[in-house]
Amino acid sequence: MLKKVACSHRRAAARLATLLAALAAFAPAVRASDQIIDFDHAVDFAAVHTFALRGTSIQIDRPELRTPLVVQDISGTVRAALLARGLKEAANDADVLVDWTVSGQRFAINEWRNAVPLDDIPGERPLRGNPWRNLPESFVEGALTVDLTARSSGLLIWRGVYRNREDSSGKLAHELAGYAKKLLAGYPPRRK
Amino acid sequence: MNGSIRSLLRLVMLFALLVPAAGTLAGDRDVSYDSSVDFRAVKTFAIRSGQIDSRKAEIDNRLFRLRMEDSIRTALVRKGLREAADHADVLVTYSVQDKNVATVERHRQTAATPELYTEGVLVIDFTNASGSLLWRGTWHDQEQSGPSLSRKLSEDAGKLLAKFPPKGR
Repeated sequence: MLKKVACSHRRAAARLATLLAALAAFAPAVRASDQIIDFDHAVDFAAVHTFALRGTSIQIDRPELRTPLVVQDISGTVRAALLARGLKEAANDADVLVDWTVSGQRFAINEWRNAVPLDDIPGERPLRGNPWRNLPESFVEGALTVDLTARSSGLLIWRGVYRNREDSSGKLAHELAGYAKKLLAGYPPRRK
Repeated sequence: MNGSIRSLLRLVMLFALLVPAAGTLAGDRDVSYDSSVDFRAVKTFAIRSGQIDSRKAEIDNRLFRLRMEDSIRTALVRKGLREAADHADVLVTYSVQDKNVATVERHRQTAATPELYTEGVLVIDFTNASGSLLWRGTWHDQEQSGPSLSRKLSEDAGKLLAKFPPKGR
């Protein structure tokens, strides 16, 4: 009887150890997607009634991403989210101007299993000597930034940035509208 | 106590230590100061605009600057200093730099997995009216994402200023 109890304890300990090891191993991976929302605490967002979509920019040079369909998808999601929060779209004299930008970096895995960037980074030295630039894309670290700028002052009053790691540029293209939705779920900001 | 229960408890404790370490990477700080300065005489401060060298949208923007300045202000006011628009005893400036780092995670039992993290450096300087550096705090932070680094850097400013004024000065 005693032997049986000790044996079941050992089995339970082994199972728990496996579970804990698996959780510890996956903890960093879970953190791959992350977002932040910053806003000007001096602004009364309840006084913001109208918006206009202004600028759109896709800074990753891939055909899957640089397409009017992706632009439509993201702009449509941003518009729908703001309308759902009671704002109205106004062609002229809108209270806030909305811009969004898709940026990111594509990576390959080299022979030592290091992650190596595939593309030049805008504003940085071109990767001319990059021996891995012809490797296949392994993953993309993509980011969507949504900005709200007060038209009257020209100041940025709200910014949301969502970053995530996707398996490919194509996957990123399909996920971007979801990023916009998650970001705008945090609008209007709640003051502490 | 049964041996297997003891080893179970040990595992739970190890897990409690490991999980936060896995989510957040290391932070490291350094403080240096002019030992001839009597920091007890510093009563007022003014915050000057910071320098940001980052391509990250969550760091290189006006709202991050506001958050950073607010964090510095709160930390110094908590220390009993007062913000003064003119003739402040010390001028506080800060700079932020970051870069992405690719590395390889080898400790897992599965095949080695490439990992990316982002490394930020926050420097806070106190200078006097003539521009001499009196106090410098440097904080190196490693986080697994840009949003996380952005959040942490403003918190790091508060932690760094917990070391001000230098003890006995």
